[in-house]
Amino acid sequence: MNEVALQVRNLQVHYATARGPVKAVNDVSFDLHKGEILGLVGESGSGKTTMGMALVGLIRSPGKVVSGEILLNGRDLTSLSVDAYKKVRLEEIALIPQGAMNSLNPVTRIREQILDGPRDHGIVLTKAEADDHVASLLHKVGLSPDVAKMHAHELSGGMKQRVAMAIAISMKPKVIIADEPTSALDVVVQKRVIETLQDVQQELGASIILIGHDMGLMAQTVDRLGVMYAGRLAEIAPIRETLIAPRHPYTRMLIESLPAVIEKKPLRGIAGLAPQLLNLPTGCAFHPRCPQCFDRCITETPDFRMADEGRWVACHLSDHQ
Amino acid sequence: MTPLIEFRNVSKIFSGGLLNRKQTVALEDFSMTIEDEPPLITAVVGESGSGKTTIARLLLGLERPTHGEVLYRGRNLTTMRGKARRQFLHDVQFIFQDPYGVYNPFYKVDHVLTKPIAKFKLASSRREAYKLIETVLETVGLRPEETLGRYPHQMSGGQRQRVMVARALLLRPKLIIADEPVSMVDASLRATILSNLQELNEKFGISIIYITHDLATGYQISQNMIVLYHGSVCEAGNVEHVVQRPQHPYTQLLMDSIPRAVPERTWKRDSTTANMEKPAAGHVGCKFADRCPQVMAQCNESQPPFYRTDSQRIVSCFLYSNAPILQRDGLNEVFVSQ
Repeated sequence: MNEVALQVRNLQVHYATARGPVKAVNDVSFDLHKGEILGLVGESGSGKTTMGMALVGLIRSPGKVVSGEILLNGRDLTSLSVDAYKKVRLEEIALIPQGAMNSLNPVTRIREQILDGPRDHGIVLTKAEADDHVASLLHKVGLSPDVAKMHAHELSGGMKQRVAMAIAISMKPKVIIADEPTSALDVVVQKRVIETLQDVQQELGASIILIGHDMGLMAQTVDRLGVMYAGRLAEIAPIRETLIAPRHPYTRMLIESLPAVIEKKPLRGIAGLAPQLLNLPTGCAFHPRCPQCFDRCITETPDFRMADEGRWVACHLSDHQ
Repeated sequence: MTPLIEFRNVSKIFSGGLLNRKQTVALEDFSMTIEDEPPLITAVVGESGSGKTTIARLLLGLERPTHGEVLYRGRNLTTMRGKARRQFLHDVQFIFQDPYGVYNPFYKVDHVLTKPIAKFKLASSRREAYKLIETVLETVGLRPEETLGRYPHQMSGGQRQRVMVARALLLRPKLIIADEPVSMVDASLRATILSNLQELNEKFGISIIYITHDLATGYQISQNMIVLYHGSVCEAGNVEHVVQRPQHPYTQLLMDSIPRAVPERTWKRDSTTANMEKPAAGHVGCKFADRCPQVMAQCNESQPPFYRTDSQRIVSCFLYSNAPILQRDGLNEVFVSQ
């Protein structure tokens, strides 16, 4: 029943190092449904940003998409040439990069930065048309048309984030990847920026992959949530079900480690450290930190399989059911 | 006994450059006392531009107050010299936001731990020094053999921040000022670092000023809370009162903006427009008035005083003008003191 906007199949992204390949994204498969917001959480180094970059074809040496498929509108993006990818990017799939607020050019006006994309894609606009286009994009992200004349340093963090969003939607892509769009913002501004992102999604009828590490933000925003650990997907499921009954112990511990405002409770972090990707533990990469680890976890990597309708998990505990 | 730290009607105004004559009020008429007995954790909460980092910088002596004074054991911080200053540098320790920027990349992490020992002559031999370092590292949950001898870039942000907590503990200070200690650390490690801080408070009797923009972590570890908006206190008191039943419209807005990890959607759309401009010096009225959904005529005429709405909280808002007024330097009367 759910139409698929983007399919990722067995994606492998490696970074070549002197000590061997670092598998930043390791055999990841998932579907992005039409019109949904899919969250992607994980610790630093879990591969979530690399995944976002891979989807828009921006992995550069020493990184490489080694194998797997990214299917968008019936085409496998991994087989596209650099030039063909340029055409797809922004028109069909766009990225709001991490730290987007620092990605703006400090010496050109916002107007030029917004028009840069469409121009590069060969769209010729008269001055009046360009002005209209910029004004309507700024309006969509909740900014006044005056912002077009400004430079980046004249804008607050939340406004810069909105400009980055306006650039990303300048060619009405159907898939938008937002990499930690609110990580440096205050809570009140964060809420507004997310609301803007939701408005934009409604208007374009787009699908969004929201990358982040804040479980609370995911709970309030996304339709489904994918949890990444050490380059792999640990779990993917509708957000409500994940919050009520997480299947993977890592997901459960992530939720438990959040400080709540409902009641005071002892603070519980996740013991141990994120694994080094060059030297992964045997079996399930999470086993040294997992309180429910048993023999099989140490020797055998769990498959990513469907545990219930719409719920996928990579954990031996779920195999017993 | 004289309080450990006292802010007496402190204001900090930054004036613009030659061309820009606009003045910015970073902190206005702020009074607060921190006692060392009993040791408590006080959270100072606010968004960027609220003045929370100005408080930290005033405490560090990096800024001089424009009006009022900051006292350490009854002595003015800006004029303190010699022995007294040394004692201050020993008794008050800082933990900064950025666990990457505080390390010199050319030194091993040992450096930040051995330096204070040498400076304050905490140990009489190498062995004793090493024992001391070992103990503090273990207290924050780091294994000495895995930590010492490494360079900062070989450790994660969370580990580095814990070394900073260990360094602060080394001196057995009376007060730790932690300015956003976990905002740059992965979510899964935040809880660990915060419980480290809590342990320092409980086991070693260290008072803590926890500066943050995150109400949730502030609530979890502190007993008292001060909510700042553009340099003025909007609400303060027992953290249970402030967080569980916020009364100032700004505190309510902050609470509503927290994304909660619960299956229900608690985020509601609201129409208050964000005004991030800082009010200039000479601003009259409540600073939150232009964003406030419940704004009244008098809000633009004068700044609301502290209304004591219950025994353990004040609110600076005319909505509560039936409540008795508390003097601006009386915050301690509403704070939990044990």
